[in-house]
Amino acid sequence: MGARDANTVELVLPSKPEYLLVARLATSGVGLRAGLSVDDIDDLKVAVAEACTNVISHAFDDNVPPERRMINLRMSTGKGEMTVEVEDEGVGFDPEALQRAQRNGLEGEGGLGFGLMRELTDSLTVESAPGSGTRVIMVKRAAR
Amino acid sequence: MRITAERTDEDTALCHVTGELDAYTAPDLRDALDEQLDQGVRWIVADLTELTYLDSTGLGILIETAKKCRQAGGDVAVACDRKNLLRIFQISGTHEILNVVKDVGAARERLQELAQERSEGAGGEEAP
Repeated sequence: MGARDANTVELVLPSKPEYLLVARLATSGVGLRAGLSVDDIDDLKVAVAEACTNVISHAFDDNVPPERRMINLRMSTGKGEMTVEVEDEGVGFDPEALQRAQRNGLEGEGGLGFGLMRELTDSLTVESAPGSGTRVIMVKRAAR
Repeated sequence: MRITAERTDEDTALCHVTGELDAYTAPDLRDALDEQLDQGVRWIVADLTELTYLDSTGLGILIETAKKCRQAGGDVAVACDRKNLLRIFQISGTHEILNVVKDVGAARERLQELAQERSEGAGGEEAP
């Protein structure tokens, strides 16, 4: 994960849908600290939940024991902005393949989630490779 | 999340969904809607006016249900007036295909319009 500072919040959540609410609540709390508006926080809550849902649905195969199926969340605040990293140590994927599928309209439900993440944040970076886990970095800036 | 479904006609149901709809709660909604479809419902008003959270998992279920209803000759209309949810419908491009309107009364009217259009197009379709 990226650099840690005095205003960084880190959470490790089980990769299970019942913990999505915890991810959203944490996003709300840190978002308020970052000075985001209620609307901005609503946007970011959905984006973070989409990233976590992708981990839950796609990151881990049966070879990974349940105790290793975790979502690492890191939330940090800057001047009028909030950065959220959602990381897993799962099977990973080829981000270029996803982009090709999106261009061809073949992305399916997971692609709908990525589409929402892109639209609801000011910056979205996806780092992944087959066998190497995935890290999604999202930045939301306070509306001026 | 809480779901209550009531039959308002032989083939029409009104489903109230309150709370938060995410990947944890979505299976309950899928089961509730599928149960209605299994009982012959093909026109569904989804009342989301008291839903406070929605993401792609919930959208996926609504889209899937709308497809099933259309295959049976019916459709889905969504009642929703919350700004954060309307934004999700708009940016996902599902606002029109899910017939999103502001309240239950407008949703019922929308389904009646659709039934009327199909009746005129194919002949004999009874309005919900």
